[in-house]
Amino acid sequence: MSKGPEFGGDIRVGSEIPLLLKRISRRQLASYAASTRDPYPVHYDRDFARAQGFEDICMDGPMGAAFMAELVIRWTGRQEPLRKLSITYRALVYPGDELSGSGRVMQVHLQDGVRFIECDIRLQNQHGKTVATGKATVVL
Amino acid sequence: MKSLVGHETQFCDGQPIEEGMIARFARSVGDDNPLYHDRRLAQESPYHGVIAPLTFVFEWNHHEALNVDEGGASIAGIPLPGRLLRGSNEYEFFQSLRPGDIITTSSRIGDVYQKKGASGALVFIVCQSRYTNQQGELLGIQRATYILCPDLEVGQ
Repeated sequence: MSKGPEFGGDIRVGSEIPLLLKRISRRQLASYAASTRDPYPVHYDRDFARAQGFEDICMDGPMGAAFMAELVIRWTGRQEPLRKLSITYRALVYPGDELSGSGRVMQVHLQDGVRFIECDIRLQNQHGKTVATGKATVVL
Repeated sequence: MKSLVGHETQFCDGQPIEEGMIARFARSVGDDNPLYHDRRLAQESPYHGVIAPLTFVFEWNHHEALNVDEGGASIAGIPLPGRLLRGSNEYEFFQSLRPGDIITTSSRIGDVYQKKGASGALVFIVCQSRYTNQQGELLGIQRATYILCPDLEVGQ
């Protein structure tokens, strides 16, 4: 994996992480449930989801965390710099939604010769609604 | 509910993670990084082989102290009243997961507390989990907060 073109010495407060776009399909939600052995039918059975009060099957929240991790790793070019990631869920995501992931450097500080880069991350849907917010700690 | 604090579980299914599982996970989130699915390219990379996306390890074992099954969720076999929603997840990454790793998840209910929400009382359940491989190496730590909405009955 090569180093991300925008990642390196010129990172400063306010630097933006390149956008990541995801279109959420019904098949993808079912596939994620299968690939994580998640038996909870709210992610693949529309009748069950509706009976539970949801308008349709909905995205398993941590799929959003996978998007956030991908956003950061596309930027850093490697996994190792990403040390911590947190995600807070703000709204449900349904099939057909288009998510855009964005991030911004909020703080850069040196500790024991290591550069810590604290980033805010956000996932928004096609209506501009924030569905998840997060924070990432990246080291250089 | 408060008595659930300190409840601990440990889970290991003994099954090694396979390349195909990793590739399928990556495909389901639309991540086309070749390190997750292209064995030849991954061999030539600094990783000398396929690695998993970072959140895979936390998602592979849904056997945290708070167990979600086909009916919803329970703790230590106690069904939870109302609807359970995810509040937040905090992850710390220590090492890339590789094919062949056998994961053990050690979980503990760290906290249970109440807050008043717009639609009534909400119960927050905090579950802390550590994920290690068969060599005892720490791969990741997770702190998951779930929100139980007792006023939202199942079936509503």
